[in-house]
Amino acid sequence: MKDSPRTLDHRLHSAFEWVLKRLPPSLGDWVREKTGGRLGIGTQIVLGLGGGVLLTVGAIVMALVLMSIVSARQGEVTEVHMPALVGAFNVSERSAELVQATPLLVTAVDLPQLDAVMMDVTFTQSALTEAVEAVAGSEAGGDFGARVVPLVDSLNEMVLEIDQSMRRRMDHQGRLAQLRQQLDDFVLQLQTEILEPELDDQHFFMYTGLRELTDAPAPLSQRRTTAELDHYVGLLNFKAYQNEATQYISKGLVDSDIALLETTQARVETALENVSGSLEKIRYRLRSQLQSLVQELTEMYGAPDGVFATRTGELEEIAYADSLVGHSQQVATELVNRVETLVGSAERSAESAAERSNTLVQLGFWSLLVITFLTIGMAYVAWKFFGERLLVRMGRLSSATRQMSKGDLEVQVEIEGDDELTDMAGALEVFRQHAVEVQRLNLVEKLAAEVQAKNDKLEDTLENLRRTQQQVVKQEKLASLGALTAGIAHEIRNPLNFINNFAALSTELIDELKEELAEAVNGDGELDREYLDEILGDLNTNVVKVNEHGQRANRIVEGMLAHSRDEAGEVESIDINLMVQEYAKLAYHGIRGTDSTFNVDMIHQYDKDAGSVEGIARDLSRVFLNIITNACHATQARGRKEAEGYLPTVTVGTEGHEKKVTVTVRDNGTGMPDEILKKIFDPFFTTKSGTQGTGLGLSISHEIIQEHGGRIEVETEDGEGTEFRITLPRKGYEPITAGS
Amino acid sequence: MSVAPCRAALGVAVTGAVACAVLVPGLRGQEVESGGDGVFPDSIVFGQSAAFSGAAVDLGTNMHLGLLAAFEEANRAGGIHGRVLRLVTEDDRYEGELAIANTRKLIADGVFALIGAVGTPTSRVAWGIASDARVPYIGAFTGAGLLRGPDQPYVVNLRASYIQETEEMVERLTEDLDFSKIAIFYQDDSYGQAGLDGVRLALDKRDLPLVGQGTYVRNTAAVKRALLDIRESNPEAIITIGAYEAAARFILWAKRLGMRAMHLNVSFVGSNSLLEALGGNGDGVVVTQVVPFPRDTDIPVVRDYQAAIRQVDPSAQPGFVSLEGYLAGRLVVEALRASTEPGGPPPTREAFLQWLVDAGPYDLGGFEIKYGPGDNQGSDRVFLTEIRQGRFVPITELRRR
Repeated sequence: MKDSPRTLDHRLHSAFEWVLKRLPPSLGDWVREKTGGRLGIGTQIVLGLGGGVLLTVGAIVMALVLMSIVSARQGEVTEVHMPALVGAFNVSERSAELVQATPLLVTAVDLPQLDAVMMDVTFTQSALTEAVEAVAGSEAGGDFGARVVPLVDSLNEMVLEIDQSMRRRMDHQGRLAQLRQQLDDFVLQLQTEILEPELDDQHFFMYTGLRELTDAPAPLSQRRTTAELDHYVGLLNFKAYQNEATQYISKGLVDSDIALLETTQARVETALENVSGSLEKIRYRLRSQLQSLVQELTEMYGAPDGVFATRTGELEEIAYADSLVGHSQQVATELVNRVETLVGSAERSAESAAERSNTLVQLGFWSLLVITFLTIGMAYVAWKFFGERLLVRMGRLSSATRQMSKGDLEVQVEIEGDDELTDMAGALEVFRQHAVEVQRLNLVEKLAAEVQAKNDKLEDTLENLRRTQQQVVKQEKLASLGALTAGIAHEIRNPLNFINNFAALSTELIDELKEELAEAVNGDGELDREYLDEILGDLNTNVVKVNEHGQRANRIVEGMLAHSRDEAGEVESIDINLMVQEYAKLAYHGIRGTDSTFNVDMIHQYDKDAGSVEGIARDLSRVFLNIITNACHATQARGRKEAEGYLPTVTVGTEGHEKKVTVTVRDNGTGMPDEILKKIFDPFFTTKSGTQGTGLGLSISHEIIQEHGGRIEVETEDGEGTEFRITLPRKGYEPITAGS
Repeated sequence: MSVAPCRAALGVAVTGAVACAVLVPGLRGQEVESGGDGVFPDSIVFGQSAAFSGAAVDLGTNMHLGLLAAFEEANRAGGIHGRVLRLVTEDDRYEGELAIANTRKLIADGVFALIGAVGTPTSRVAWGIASDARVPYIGAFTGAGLLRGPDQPYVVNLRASYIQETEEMVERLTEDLDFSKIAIFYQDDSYGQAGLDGVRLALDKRDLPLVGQGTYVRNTAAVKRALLDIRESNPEAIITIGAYEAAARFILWAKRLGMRAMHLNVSFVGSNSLLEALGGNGDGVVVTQVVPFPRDTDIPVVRDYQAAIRQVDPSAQPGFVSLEGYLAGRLVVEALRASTEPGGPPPTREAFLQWLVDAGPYDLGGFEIKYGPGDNQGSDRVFLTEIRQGRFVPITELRRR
């Protein structure tokens, strides 16, 4: 891998040159002019992108060409085959409808129904004609018109024929209904008005000889004469034959075929002959009336618009229409068959066109797929040969530059090939060498100046620190003075009380003295000398006491002033026991002054041999005050946590040795965890909240003891208590070395 | 209906379906479509198909007179809460076929109900048409049992049946006179047959034979051969089920032949016409009636009737047929008034019929009627009348002459 890029780059460039040499001279020159005769990055990008663009354009052009071909094929399907198919379906549907509809014509029972059916049929006919014309006139029509149109025309004609026949049939039916009513009326009239009453009369007369209610009965000889009997028999025959004739006429109204109708006709004629025959016997009075009725009946059946002619006409029309329907069904079936064939061929051509366009779509799909993969492959190759190599080389150049910018001028930049990057690598190398030279020249001078500047700055800082330290120390002094004030006030009160008491006592003694003197002047004039001496002696003692306590107060105030004085203290001999005892009291009262509930069992264990040390009283007193106050605070804090059963105790002790003196301050307060113990001598470290502490107490104490050649040791147990041991060297002995 | 296999493809299916729909032939119902319920904002219309010509013309005109009298009486009193009653008539000449045509026409024109039909052969075919169209068929002038079934909710009969009339006759003949030889003379149609059935039923109940019978052709007066037939059995009483003309001829000829048999007629004969046809020779002829005596002014509804017909025709004489028409009209008026409220919804046929069923016994001014579920006959009363001295008188029992 390490060698391959070089080889590859070289090969690429060789290939480029090889190509350049083989190009036609003018083009080769042009390319050389544009590229500088080498395979630069620009040329590489142009080659890569140009190849991609060329492939994409190729794919798009191919897709467009395929799409236009498919579109043309689809257009063919949509514009030629589909309309043909739809038209063929239409014709098929309409033909089938017409086949279904035609027989409905002959089932119509009256004119409105016929009109309705005819309207439907006409609608279907025109729809069919329209559909046929649409197909015949279309591109794919072919010989369709020649094959189908004559059949449709013939069907249409037959439908018209059937309709006409049906109308004639209905005329006949109307006439027959009329005749039926006429016949019924005729029979009713004949029976009820003539035959029945006449027969009744004749019968009754022949039995009773009576015709009218008021008549006298005719004798028997007149009742049953031949004439009367003939009349009666004639009436009976007339009635019977007339019944027969009307029954046959009624039958003729409904006879269902012409042969049957002819038989019936013969029977009616026979019956009518018999009716006429029976007339002869009937009396003349009735005969002519009945004869005209017979004539009426004969006409009803035999006239051109009579029962038989009309019924015959109707039957003929029925047969005609039926035959027309049969024929039309045949024609229609033929039509449907032909149309079915057409539908089939239209379907086939539509299908084959659709298949062709489908094949093209498939071809287009696969071609595009191949081109797409080809493009991806080319892009990959281009990336491998140009992009990735370029990145590797640029990365190398960039990392070299970064390293140099960080000051590592020892980096060697090696970029192979022959392009802009190679140029940049060369330039960088030159730059690097220049930089190395300059660096050497400047380094020493620069370092010297830097060191000087830093020294100046450090001195400034040191000075600042000193000033700050002094300021802080002063503040700490003032702070501890504050803590002392309460204790001092308490301390001063004692001598003041003494002074006041002795002063008051002295005033009384002086009064007594005055009294004694006045008694001596006004009384016996004799002075009690003994008594006077006693008073004066007491007065003297009092004054000495007042002076003594005044001195003490003075010392306290001076001590306080000394404590807060800023200037360096003087070294003097210090009675350790006295100082510790005094500041233990001050510490205690100092806290009591701010917290009246505070109490502690202060145990004093002083070594009589403690003696004295050389030191600055003001500074040491601060150390003791500070440490004892801390001890008291620790018990105070623990007392707050453990109210019951806790006995706050602070033990203050001294221990005298030959070379040193040790002061021990031990409390049973809160103690300290290790992490606090580590920091207690750090300046500004405090565990107290808010304004209670400056955080400088122990730090300054530590410093003071060190200045005195002593040391401070701390032992503590978290939650149990703390012990501070301060060791100071005696005068003339060497300082105690630091160590815990 | 199925059309040639519809190839569902593209738009073809849609156009095909449209064509299929167009080809369905219009349905032509054979049933009579009601033209409306005959109720209008200001009127309620009734239809009457009856004989206004032919042999039974007197029956039709008198039924019409009575109905009209009742309607006009009601209209004078404000109608049915503001709606006046109107009566539309059609002549059926007592012929079944015409009755069918008339009934269909009246229903198609839109009538609230058919009322006052005359005769058995007409009403036997007309009531079914009315019931199919859910149109009430009210107060037909016939006592035939075929209108008195339990499943004929649209038929509302007012009068007692022929069976009740013939039963009354036979009961009176056997109880009052102890007769046992009873013959029947009847018209050769369904009316006559109904009467024959009634007489047979009554005689069978009493284990008596029907000694003689004779028929005549409807719409004729050819009664003499029947008379000869009946005379053979020498009956004590002859029950006639026929029209007045034939009945009168029969009675007159029977008397002429010297027969002494008692003649009894059912109400349908048309009493006043019969009296007229007998021309003063009718004494002793008994006619059963299904309405009170029309001159009996003790009965409140008869007083109303007399006043009402004179309002229609000042020369009108009280008669049984017009009284029956009047009672049918009154029934309709009272039922309509009771089944609707002033200012309320318009009357409906259903509410009208339901009121009749629910009303229980109802006094129509001295003439009690009562309908119920399965009972479509209002009155069961049969009244006896006899011609004495050329006029009808109400009687309670028969007596020998």
